[in-house]
Amino acid sequence: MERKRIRRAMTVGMASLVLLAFSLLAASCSKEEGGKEPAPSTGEEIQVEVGKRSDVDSLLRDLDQAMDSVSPEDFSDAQLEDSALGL
Amino acid sequence: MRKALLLAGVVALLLVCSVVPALAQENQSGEEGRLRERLQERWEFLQQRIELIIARFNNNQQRHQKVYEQVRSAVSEFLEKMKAKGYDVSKLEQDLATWEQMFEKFAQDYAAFIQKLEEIAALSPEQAQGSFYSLLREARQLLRVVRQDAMDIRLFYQQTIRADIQELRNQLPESV
Repeated sequence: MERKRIRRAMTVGMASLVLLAFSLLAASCSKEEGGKEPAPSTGEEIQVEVGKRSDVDSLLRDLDQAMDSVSPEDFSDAQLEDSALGL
Repeated sequence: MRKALLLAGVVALLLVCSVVPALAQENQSGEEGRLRERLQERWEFLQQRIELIIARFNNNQQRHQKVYEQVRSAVSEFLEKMKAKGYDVSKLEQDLATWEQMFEKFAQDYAAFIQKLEEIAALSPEQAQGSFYSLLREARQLLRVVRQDAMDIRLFYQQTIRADIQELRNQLPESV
């Protein structure tokens, strides 16, 4: 009777652990996905139309997004500091 | 008898005098070997870190190059289309040429920076002891130049290229 109870407790414990692991995994995946939104036009050709003002507005939006997808901080000093080198 | 004892004593003293330094020397060379081994291991670790950093920088540089080519090509296409329609694009044309020079400078400065990092990674442990820090200082200086280049490109877009396009946009009809 006692052994049955222990086994049941262990089963419940294991199931909880598995659920916890899955939820942590899902949380970390969604965090990664939401971390840095890629520019929709990155890697593709930007469409250029010059018929009317709204065409140029659209072009400016794409250019802004593309330029915002890279940062000068990709070359920050911090990446060559002693701590980054493990010194 | 006393003579023999004296002789034995002298021989024993001589033996002790010759064996002790030999043992000490052996011990010292063993310590030097261990030190050299530790130095080698430490340098290999540092080399791996530098190679990892080079790979990360190269990845960032490729992303930048790709975006720069993408926006340069779009602005150039816009310019040609506006020119074909009879608009005065001379200001944008001139600014685009300046922007293109900035892209070239970025690429050249980046190449010099990576070359310096590769130079560091190729050092032997003995060479590294003498010149690691001075080369690292140079690499850090070159990295600052690359970052400034990327910043200049971004600012030139925001303050000049974008304004030129906006100016031409305002000359277009509201709708067709």
